[in-house]
Amino acid sequence: MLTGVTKTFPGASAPAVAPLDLTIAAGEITVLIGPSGCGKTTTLRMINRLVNPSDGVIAIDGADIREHSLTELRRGIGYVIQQIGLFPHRTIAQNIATVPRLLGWDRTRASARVAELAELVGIDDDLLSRYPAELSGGQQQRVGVARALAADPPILLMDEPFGAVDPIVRAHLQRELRALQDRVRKTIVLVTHDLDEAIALGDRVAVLNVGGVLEQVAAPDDLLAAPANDFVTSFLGEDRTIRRLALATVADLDLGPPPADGTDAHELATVPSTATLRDALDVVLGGPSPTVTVVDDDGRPIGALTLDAIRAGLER
Amino acid sequence: MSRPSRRRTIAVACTIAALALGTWAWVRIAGLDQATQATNPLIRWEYLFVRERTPGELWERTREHLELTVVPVLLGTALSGVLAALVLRFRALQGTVFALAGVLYTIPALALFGVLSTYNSNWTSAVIALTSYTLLIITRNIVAGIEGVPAATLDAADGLGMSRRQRLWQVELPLATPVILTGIRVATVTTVGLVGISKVIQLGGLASYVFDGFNRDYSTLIVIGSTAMVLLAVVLDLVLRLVERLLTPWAARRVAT
Repeated sequence: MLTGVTKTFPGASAPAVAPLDLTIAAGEITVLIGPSGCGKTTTLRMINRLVNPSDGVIAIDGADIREHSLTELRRGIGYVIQQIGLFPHRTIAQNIATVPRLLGWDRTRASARVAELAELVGIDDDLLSRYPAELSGGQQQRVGVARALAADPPILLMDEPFGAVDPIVRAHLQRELRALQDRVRKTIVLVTHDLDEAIALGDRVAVLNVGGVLEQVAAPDDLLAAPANDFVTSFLGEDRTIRRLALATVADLDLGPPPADGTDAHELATVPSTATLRDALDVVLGGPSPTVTVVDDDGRPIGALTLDAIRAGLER
Repeated sequence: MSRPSRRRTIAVACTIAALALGTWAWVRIAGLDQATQATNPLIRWEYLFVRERTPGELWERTREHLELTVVPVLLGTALSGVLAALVLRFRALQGTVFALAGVLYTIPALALFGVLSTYNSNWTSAVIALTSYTLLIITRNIVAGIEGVPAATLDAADGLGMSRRQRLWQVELPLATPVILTGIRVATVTTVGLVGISKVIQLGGLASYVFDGFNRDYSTLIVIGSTAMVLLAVVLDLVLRLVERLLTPWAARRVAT
């Protein structure tokens, strides 16, 4: 999708984005991550031409984005930013309906769509007639996402969308976005500097270095398992193995047979099969014995888990 | 009405009442001896309520005054819109435009009336002069209002696919409205005061009462003229506040849930 794209801002000696090739798969969440000054936001903003590339081609489904008029292109791409940028003088319903109205939808169709989106992102109907200043930060960002999705664009650009809300709300919104994505299947490009967010949300993660140098693109698990070079290794930090554990669940492992009836099962700690390996490790290390009983949703034992099994899971 | 604005209105009313009371007391106690007070009191109520020509005259003076206020403010707003558009479009002009408006603002009103009325009719001169005084404040407020729109809001407007024109009319101007209206309000109240001087070039207005009152040593006229001018300023101020409230319903609702 991005071919040889580069950007040098006027007056800058080094390019903000070095020639960059990146293919973004449709229907996936691609996360751009990297330290400050790595050009991740600039790269994102080149996709809807808020920044024009100095050189190179950006194509969507094979068509150069310069073939469309500026407004036409942008109305077809959802856009969510950290500061949310809701229009303070418009009600929540009017904010959500911005792009449909720009596209000339009539009132009935637009308001039907607003109701649909409010439902989708979890905004109460009685908030629709309020103004943005009357909503909490988390609610405002939900509206921001609804506004971006209003005209059902195939592509969604998100620039640190959850950077301005507190950690608890952020985790909640991240789960919501993941669940939402399972329903709407958009091509999402998300910029963040938060590794946890990248791992939690990304189908693929692109790590950028200062000057817009692309160091590695990979699925989160592959990235953590096999960093391509020293930069990626140090960027991922010392605890990348522990982070990897959060990506798989106990059910993904080859489990030993459950303890036979009659052994004193109550002596053993239990862990649900839906738990992440990170949580399971906690139980294994903190429990009274090296073997932990895995139980299904109804609490019946279905297997046994050991430290070795977790280690084996990492090596797959 | 929100609480701060109601407090402001009460404060304005109290100030006016205090000033009136103070003047009255000062004139009563210090000014005149008993005999003079009996023959020439501060105000003769019968002039206001018994004399049949008074309501007609008062209305006529008020109308003249109002006209000389509203016409320059409207012209000034239109011209300021053009100037502000120039400043916002061509940044380099900002210094020049504000400097020129500033120079116009500093020319003493009497001098400007005098010079202009040599070449124009008195009414035209007054309108030109008064208009020129509104330019600085209204232009500055339009520019400040539009520059005050948060960058994130503009980024969102661009990113969602608004054209420059749509962004200006649908986002920037509505959000700048409170600041722009404040500029127009201040310009209006200032103009009500400045119109007073136009009496010098025979244009009537409420200041005629004050000038006549001084010339004939008849304090009733001075009191009527000044009170009416203050009332006119306060009423126009309130009307514009009401307009602002109607145009910006979002500004009053700021309480987060």
